[in-house]
Amino acid sequence: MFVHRPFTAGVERTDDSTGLRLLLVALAGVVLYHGGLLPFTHGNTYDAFIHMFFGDSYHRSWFDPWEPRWYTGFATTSYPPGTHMAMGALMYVMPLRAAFVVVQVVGLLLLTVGIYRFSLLWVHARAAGYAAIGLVLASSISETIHLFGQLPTIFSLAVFLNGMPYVFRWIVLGKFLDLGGAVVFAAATTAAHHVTTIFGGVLFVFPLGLHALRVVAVRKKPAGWKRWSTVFLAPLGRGVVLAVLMLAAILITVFPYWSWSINDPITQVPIPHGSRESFIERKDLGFIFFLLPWGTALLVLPYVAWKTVSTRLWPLGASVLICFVLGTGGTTPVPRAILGGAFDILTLDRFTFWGSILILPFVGLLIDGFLHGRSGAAMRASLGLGFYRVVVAGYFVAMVAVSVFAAILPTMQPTQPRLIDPAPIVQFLENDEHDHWRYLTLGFGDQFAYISAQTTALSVDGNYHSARRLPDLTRFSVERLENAKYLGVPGLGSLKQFVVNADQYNLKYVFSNDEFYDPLLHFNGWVRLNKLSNGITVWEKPDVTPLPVITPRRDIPRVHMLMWGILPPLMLTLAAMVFFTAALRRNFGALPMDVRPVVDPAAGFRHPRLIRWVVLGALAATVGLVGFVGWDLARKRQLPLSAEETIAAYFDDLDFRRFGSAYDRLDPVARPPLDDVMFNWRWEGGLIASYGKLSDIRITEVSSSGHLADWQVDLDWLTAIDVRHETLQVRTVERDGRWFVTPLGLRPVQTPARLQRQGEVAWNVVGRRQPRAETDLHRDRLDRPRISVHGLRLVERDGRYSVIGALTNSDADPAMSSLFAELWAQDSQLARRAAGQVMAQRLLPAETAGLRVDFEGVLSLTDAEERGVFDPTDFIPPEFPNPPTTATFEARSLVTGRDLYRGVALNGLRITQEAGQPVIEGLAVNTGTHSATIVCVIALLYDDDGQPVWTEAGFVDTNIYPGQSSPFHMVLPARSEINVISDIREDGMVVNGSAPMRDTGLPTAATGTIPVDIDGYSAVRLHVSSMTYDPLF
Amino acid sequence: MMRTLYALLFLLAQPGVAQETYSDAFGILPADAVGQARASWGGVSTEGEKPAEPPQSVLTFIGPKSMVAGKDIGHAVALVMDRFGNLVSDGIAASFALGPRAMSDEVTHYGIADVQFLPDPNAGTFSGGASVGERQSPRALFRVVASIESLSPELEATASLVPETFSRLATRPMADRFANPIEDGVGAGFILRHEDGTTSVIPATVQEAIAEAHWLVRDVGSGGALTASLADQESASEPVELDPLRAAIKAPVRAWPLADLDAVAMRVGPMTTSAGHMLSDGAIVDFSVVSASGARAASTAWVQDGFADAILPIAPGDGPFAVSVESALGLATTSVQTGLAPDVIRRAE
Repeated sequence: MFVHRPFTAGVERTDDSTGLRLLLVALAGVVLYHGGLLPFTHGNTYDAFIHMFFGDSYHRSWFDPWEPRWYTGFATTSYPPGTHMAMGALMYVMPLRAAFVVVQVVGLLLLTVGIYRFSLLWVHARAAGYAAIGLVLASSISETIHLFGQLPTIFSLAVFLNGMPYVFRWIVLGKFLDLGGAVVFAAATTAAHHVTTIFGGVLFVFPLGLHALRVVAVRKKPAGWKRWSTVFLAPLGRGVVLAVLMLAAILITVFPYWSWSINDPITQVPIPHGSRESFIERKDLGFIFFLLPWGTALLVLPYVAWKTVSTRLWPLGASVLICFVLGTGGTTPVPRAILGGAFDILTLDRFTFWGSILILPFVGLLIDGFLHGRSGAAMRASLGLGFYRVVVAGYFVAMVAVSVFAAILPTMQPTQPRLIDPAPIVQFLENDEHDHWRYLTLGFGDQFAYISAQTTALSVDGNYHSARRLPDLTRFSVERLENAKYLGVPGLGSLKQFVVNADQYNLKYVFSNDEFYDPLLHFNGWVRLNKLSNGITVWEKPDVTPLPVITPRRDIPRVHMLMWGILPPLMLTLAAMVFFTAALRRNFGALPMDVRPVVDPAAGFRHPRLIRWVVLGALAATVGLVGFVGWDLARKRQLPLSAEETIAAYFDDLDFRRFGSAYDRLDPVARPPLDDVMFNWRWEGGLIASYGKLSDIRITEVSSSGHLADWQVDLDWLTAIDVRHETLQVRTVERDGRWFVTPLGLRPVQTPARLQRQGEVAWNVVGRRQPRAETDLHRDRLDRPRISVHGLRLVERDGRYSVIGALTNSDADPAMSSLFAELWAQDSQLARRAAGQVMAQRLLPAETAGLRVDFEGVLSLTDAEERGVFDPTDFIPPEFPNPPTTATFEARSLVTGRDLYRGVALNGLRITQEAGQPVIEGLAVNTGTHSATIVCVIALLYDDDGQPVWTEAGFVDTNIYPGQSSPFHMVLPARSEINVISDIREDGMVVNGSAPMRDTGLPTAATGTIPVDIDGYSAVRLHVSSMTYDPLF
Repeated sequence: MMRTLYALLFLLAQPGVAQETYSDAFGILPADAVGQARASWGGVSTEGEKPAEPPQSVLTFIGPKSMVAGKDIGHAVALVMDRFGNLVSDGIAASFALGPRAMSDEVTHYGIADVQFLPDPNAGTFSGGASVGERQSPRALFRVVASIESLSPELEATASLVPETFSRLATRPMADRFANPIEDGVGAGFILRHEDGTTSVIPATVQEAIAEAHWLVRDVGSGGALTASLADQESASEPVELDPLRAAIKAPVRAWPLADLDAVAMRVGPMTTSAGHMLSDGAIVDFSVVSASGARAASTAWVQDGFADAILPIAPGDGPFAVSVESALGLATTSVQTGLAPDVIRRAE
């Protein structure tokens, strides 16, 4: 029964005992190190809160996997439930976050035992003990737990590794109890995370199977071909049987998951992941997804390569090296060639993680050799005891340092917003029936998932992109709406769909932790309600239809619900029983296993002196390499930038708020003190400086003379509203061989009045703010104000369909309006959309402004794939069976008393024609008493017949304090670009649920407009409104 | 065996009988199993119904919230309920008080009494209510507002515009055909069509029946024709003058070389005006320079403390320079030679 034993029985017992002691040290290390850090670090991780949300979902409803709180509903059968159910069960005795920490620590403890047991199959016990300690100090573990917050990955691998001894013994010895154990552990692993079982089968089980065959060969000592075939036939057959049963376990344990995958395939534009990038081009990603997880294990790779080619550990070594290659992501074409289409779906840092686990037996063996074996002795002999100690201690210190660095990295470089207290948000949602609508969070990071777990209110967003099915979400490569601004145009485009068409999704509340989104919300008809005690701003969209009492849900078969609620926890329980029974049977490791690995006899070093040269040579090479890289970097930093590079660097510094660096690039002779320059930057603020993100810069030389050069700098700024183009005239000067930017001064206009006194009208719409407990009383409701829509037309421009026209507040009170248009082809309705920012959302009585409702299609996944590269700025023309022939219109309004500032005038407007396009230029002047943070101008163009033909929204780039001004520039489309399809008749309009009514007459192109002399246009009507929240910087 | 079983089942089976059933939101069941109460829910039977008790509470609603004087018809509705909240039976008399008017002899239908009324054409806020027997409703308010449709704005005389000051633009008080003043907060606008072809758009709101704006006159080159607009009405245009600033004395231009940059710095100022003060800060000044060899350079600057500075990429030794300076004070040309920088002169002094 016993395989090859290189040691005497006494030595082996000592070795086993030492191994167990080292394991105990490792377990203590897990509890003290990771267990001590986890309560403080998990809040800064990416995934912890997502797993908590799933845990909470099972706690609320164990057997019903339909979760309505995200994405208008999704099935939790989209992710294996093992760890989440464990949390859900623990929530009966402890809070959610504590449950997460407990399950994570248990997973880590199991993983430590698992790596010890797995290593025992390859190396002797003491080395396995060191492997377990290596796991505790592995930077990949630190990163996975304290930075990524991955729970199922850790837990499933822990279960999987503990099943490996059964796999090994089944193949070698053929005991059915071992087969049962192996299958149970495979099923339990799948219950926690199916991917581990699938890839583990290749990366862990297959090498172990080869290793087991070698053990069989050593035991049976076959001679001759026939003997070989006879000896290997049985273990090979056992391997096949095991593979089939493991596959069955994978299928059955999470069968509802497979059913979901097949019946509801993911139709999602591939979402970029940093682990697929080239780590040479994106060194930051290379650091996070490759260098940091490998950590000091990278130093062991040459040892792995050597052991792979020289010892029986080659199957394990080969697996490590495969993981190493696959983990390089897009750095080389090899991973894509190996993985094919799966390359764009998988996150490749997973392979690096598995590689960093597979390498641990080698790490244990290496440390054991250094501390107790011949390599340590040889080093001491060749380099002396002092140097030996420096090397050993240095390696240990490096392991600890890298591991601790990975653990505290989120603290040093926060990846999440500050911790947000969920209680005020939860309370808000629970009060006054606010949970009768959906909500959305912005700028919460992954804490959104934790907020969701605290409430039963529903959100249109979610934090598990694989489960979403709404086309508006899956059309863009955007993971979630919550962090839309970091995803540029596609992110904001996706977010805008929901912000504009809020009624369609019953979306009424936005909790914003990022003022970047303020302009988007304000100019799309959202109202800033108040700030909660946790600093979160609540926005409300008035007049949104509440959720139906019964929301639609997917019909999940009852048998799937039962399977999902019973099988995964059952498998985990069975695996736990097997684990503890085996532990008891073996007296917690005191009794050795009945089958041991083959350990090659130790061979002495043939050239001990060579060690000295190799070690010193490697050291010298490392020092030389580091020195060269440092020198090269320093040299490059010293090289003076060209004028264009200086300009680009200056705006880049401003974009990233590196004001000190930007100041250093200003002409040292002409620049004022830093405080003055900072004042200039702060003063402008507005849509670009406060809410913009630089997305592109183009620099064109205007003139150059000696040491002076003038440039035209075109800047593209991504703002929440749109991409803004800014053109600046910039001068550079050359002094002592270096180029500097001449400071861009502010126009020093003086507000004429030292005290400006103006009366203004204010409104208070009381609503239910009454000292009575009822949530709703009829008498507190105000009638809808009368509004009129007129001159409505269906037009087409560049393949885009829009409904344009004019909106007049015909009431005696200010109105906040919601507008919707439907496209029709004959008698069939094609699409329905709401008006966004191209309308005046808030109108004073008797005011008129233009309106436009745009129709855009949804990109199909097939189209996206055909295009090859997904261009997020593409307009997706809507696909209709027939082209639209007409449209209908619906308008609703409420009385409002807020955001009605009308203090901004447009001075000296000059309307010219450039290539048929009207260009409006002038000066926006704040003549009132409020600070206009962002000014919006709605331009309604009338054609030669005096009928509305196009509406456009323009914005002033900077904020305008009272008495100050800012240039304004707006380009409108040429008349020839616009094709009028049909006029919308009054019987196609529904206003406030009935036929249009009005208190006032409706202005025509002749009233309150500016006549223009431009081809195809007769007049333009301008409406100016402002967002007046405190300017940001 | 199976045949025997089928035969037994056949013998045991009862013949199908048509049966009257009753269905409601709670399901379908045989009509003979339906209780009286349940039958009354669906209106199948009235046996389980009980008449409402005498009126206990009255709720009144009056709409629309703001009636246009002389145009809108109001609608007052009273919901009359018994002590359980049931609407009372038909034929119960209700009377309405609607501001200065009282209307009686209305009776309930399905528990509701209502009346349509034409409010007095005087604008204001009025209270109303309904009475049924001795029971009265809580107070309900309704407004009568001026008819915007029936008024037309007229401009108040506007004083001459002075650059960099606030100018008051206003209409005369506006009232409708019933002499009701227009409501506060109504949106209006002024449009000033300048003589130089540009236009200024100035929003305004109505207060005390006057549409008024305090407009900051900045970067406008001339006066023009002013109109006020409100809804679909526009006033007749009135001419508005702009008091242009004139230079008190021609502002001197000074130039000095920037040897390290191979350029020339220029300063114009002090830019004094006929109004007795320097040209306002922020006024735009355009420099245009031609050197002796014909090289040209241009730059734009803003006035600060009466001076405007510019650096022109032109060789310092290529003087004298023909300089054109254009500002709100007009176009001035001069010829300058480079000299000492102002700070050098100041130090020397």
